[in-house]
Amino acid sequence: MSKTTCSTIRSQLDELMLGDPHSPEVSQHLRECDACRDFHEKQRKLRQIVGSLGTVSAPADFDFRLRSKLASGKSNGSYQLMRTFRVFVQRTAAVAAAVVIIVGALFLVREFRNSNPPIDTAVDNKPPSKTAPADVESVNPGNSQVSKGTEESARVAGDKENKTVPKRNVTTAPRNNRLLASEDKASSRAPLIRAPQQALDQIFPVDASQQSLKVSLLDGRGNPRTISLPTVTFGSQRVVPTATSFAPKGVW
Amino acid sequence: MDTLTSIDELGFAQALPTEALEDTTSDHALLEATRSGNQDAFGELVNRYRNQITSYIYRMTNDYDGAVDLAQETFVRVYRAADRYQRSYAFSTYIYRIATNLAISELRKRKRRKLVSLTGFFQPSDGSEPKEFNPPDERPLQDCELVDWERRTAVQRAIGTLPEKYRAPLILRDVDGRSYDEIAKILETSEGTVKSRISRARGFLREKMTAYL
Repeated sequence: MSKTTCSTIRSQLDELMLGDPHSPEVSQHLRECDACRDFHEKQRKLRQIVGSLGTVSAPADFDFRLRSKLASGKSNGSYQLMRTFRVFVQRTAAVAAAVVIIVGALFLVREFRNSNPPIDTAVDNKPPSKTAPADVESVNPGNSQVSKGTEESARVAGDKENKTVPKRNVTTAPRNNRLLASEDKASSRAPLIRAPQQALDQIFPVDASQQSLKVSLLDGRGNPRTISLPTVTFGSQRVVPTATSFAPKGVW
Repeated sequence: MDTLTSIDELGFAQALPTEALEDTTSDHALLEATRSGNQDAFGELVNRYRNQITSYIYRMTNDYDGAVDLAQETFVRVYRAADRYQRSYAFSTYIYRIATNLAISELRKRKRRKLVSLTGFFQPSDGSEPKEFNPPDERPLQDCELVDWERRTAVQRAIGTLPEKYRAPLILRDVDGRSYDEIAKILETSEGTVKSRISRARGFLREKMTAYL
C-alpha cells in the first residue's frame, strides 16, 4: 500500500466526527491495510476517551457571584480610569521618594566629608599654642644668624654646634578625612617679636654684607623652607646695602 | 449602558420568565434585549452557556475554581461589551473566543509565575516533555467505573501537557464537538491550520496514552 494513499485515508478519518460513516473508498482501504486499520482503531478509542470527559457543571452560586461582580462595577471605564490614575500616583510617589532619599544621602555624605578633622600639630607631645607659630629653624647663611620665632621660642643660634635637627610634625588622621593644613590668619594679629635688649644689640643692625636675608622656616609638614628676602628700601635711604654699593652704618 | 447600583437590579437567576423568553429565542435576540436593559435576557444567556464555558475553561486550565472565575469574567465582558457586539459571527463563537483568550492568558500567567505542580517534580532534566506521574495503584479494581475514571483522569492530565495552540482546537473538536469552521472562527485562524493542529494534538495524545489504547 502506498504511503500517499495511507496518509490521505488517515487525514480523511481524522476529519470525520466520531460515529460518522466512512466513504466506500475509506472502508475498502481499511479492509486491505492493517496499519491504517490499527491506526483507525487507536484513534477511535482515543477520541472516545477524550469525548467521555464531558461537560463540567458550573457551581450553584455561579449566578449570585456573577451578579455581585456586575453590581460591583469592577470592569467599567471609570474604575479602569481610577485604577490607572492610582497606579500612576503610586509610581510617581515612589520615584519622588527615591529621589529624595538619594539626594539626602548625597548631602549627608558631603557634609560628613567636609567636616574638618582635628589636625595634630603637636611637637614633642605638646599641643600647639594658638599664638605660637610653627617651630622656626634658623640657618646660618654666613657669619650672622637671625632667627625668628615667638616670645618663647625665639633664640639665636650662634654656632653650628647648636644647630638642632628639625622635628617633623607628623599628622595622623583617618584616611577618609581630608587634611586641611591651612589656617586663616587674616583676622588675627601677627606675633610681636620682643627680644631682650641684649639680644637686640646682637641682632640689629643687620650686617647683610652683600647678601640677602634668608630665613628658614618649617612648613606644616615639618619640611624646612628657605625664604630669601630682598633688600628693603625706604625712599632713598638704604638700610641694607645692595651688592653694588654700601650705605653708611647707622645712617637712616 | 447604565451602570448597576445594586445586586437586585440583576434578577436573572431567580425569576426567569420562561414564557417571555422561550428556548427558541436566538442568542442574538437575547443580546439585543440585554443591550436595551433587559436583565432577564442576559440571565437566559448565562443559563445557556455557563456550563459550556466553565467546562471548556476547566479543560483548558485543569483548575476548576480558576475556571469558574474565568467563566464569570467571560460573562462580565459580554455584558460590558454588549453595545459593541456585532452580529457577523454566532454568539457562541463570540463568547468562546472571549473564553479562549482568557484561558490562554491565564496559562501564560502561570508560565510566568512558574507554579510548582505535582507533575513538575517529575520533569526530566534534559528539558524534554514531562512524563505523567502515574504511580501504580495497589488497590484492587472495584468495577469498570473506576477504570473509566482513571482513564479520564489520565487523558485530562495528558491534555494539560499539550501546548496551548494544540489544546484549544482539540478540546473544541473532540470534547465540545464543534465544527472546523466554527473552531477556525473562534481561534481566528484558517480551517487548514485547525485541522493540522488537531491532528498533531491527537498524535501527541496517542503517544502519551499508549497504555490505555
